Amino acid sequence: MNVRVKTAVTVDPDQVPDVPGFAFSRFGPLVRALATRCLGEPGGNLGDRTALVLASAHADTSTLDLAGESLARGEQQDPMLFHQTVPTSILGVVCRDHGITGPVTCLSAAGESVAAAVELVAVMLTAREVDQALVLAVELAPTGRVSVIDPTAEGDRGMALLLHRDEGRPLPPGADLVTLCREWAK
Amino acid sequence: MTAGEVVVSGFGVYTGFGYGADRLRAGILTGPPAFAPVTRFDTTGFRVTHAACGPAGPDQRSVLVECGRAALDMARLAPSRTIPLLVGTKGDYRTITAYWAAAAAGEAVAEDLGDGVPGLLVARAAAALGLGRAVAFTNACVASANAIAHGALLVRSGMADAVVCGGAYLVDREVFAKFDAVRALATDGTVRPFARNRTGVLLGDGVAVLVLESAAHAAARAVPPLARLTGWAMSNDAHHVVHPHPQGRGLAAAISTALGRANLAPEQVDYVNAHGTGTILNDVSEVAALRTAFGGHAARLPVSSTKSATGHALEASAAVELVACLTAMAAGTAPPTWGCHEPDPRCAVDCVPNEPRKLRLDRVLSVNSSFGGVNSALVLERP
Repeated sequence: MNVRVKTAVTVDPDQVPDVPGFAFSRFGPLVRALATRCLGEPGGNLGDRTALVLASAHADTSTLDLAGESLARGEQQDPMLFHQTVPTSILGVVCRDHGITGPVTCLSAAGESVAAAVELVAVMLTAREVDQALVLAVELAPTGRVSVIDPTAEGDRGMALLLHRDEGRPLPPGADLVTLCREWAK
Repeated sequence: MTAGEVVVSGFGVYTGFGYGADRLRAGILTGPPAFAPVTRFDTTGFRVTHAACGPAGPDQRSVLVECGRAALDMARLAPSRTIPLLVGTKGDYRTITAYWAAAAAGEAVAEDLGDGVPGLLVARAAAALGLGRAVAFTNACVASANAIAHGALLVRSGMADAVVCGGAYLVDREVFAKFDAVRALATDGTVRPFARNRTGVLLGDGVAVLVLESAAHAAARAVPPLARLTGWAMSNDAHHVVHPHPQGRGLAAAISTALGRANLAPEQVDYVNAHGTGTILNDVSEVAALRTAFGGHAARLPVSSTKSATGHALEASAAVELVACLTAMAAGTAPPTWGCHEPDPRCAVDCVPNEPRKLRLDRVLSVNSSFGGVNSALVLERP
């Protein structure tokens, strides 16, 4: 399968700008900041030959658990929590920013969400469904609930890969994508 | 691997009507819709109390595994680690409720919380079914459409002989509370897509699993296909965080791409299973998309929402509705849009109001949309 890396970036999770309407956690701002770092400032018009894939095992756990905690306390739910717990919402912002009208996917795979996303993109590129795909991989620092499930979970982190069928550096098969991305992003 | 035509050779389904195609077919064709006061959890303090779900019972993973087994049995396909499991699910949110209920009581949570992680839930289901690569698609109301579309691409391109794919959602208190908080739920206990007296959406249980495989792979086992999956597409509106594009730009593009892949002219489509949530923003946008994609044929095309009977199964919607299409094709009957007694003039389509319609269905389209402007379209054809 032909997969080449056009761009690989990371961002400092503590330095990402706020996103209006995404106030409860760093998940949405981290997603948008990675896309901006990879694709440039908003205003592009990438169209339907670009796919967008968000890889996250747990998604926006800060907002999910904030909602869960308030519900358990018998409090009224804040309506603003609703769309922020839906991962496609922030991807709608990214698509609007960059004029992406192609396929948009969010996925989670046990222990290997980034690899699953790259694999999915490789299938789309090989089948010529799209010409390139932006993979955004984001995980938040674990909440108490997530720590019970995954005691090894780390702090807020994210990386982005712009994968292309023809342009960029070849992606070595079997590569540790997280390490690779961190190295290439330097 | 045998690349080429993609067929559906088996399925398993669970909805608010219970397990199986017979209950789903009876529910969507003859009614009444499955909505009733929720007994699964306490709805005290919520504005709305109705959904299409049974009492507290099976967990999402158990139902997913049960439906997966039914699908494999129907397809007479032996499970294998070479067959991927692709499922649209956000995970089992009952684990979130359990954790925070225990925390509020100052207790340690006693339950296994792993099914709250979508990828882990699907991996556990794959292990139980004897299947291989497990991926959870979490892109909201198009998640199972994405799972099916990706599965179809794997088969068509020869990267897999067979895939097991679908979606799973069971009505839970976490999501119910969020829909209630934004006043999205129907206050009259009825979902009325395309009707001017609509009051919103209602949630419903939905788990559906389908076996997709190459026609040659099914033929080698002498398994007759239930349908051919000839078209699929996904798109984005690039418009708004939660609102669909008012002219349905992205959905129209997805429909046209899916029909193009299927090599079908708009006039060849016999029926559309709509996203049809019963919200004004969706209804108006969706009808605009259908008019753009189908042109003059839109005025004659039967378009109905089976969510008016099953409720909205969120991540599982597309899979459940694809099974609804299969049952409708087999029955030669277009399912009605229930609750549409006062058609909204802004939604001028033939929404098959309140009565099923005998109709030969050779080619059907199923569409869905989600927050963030994501759209999907799937095309089924009679073998």
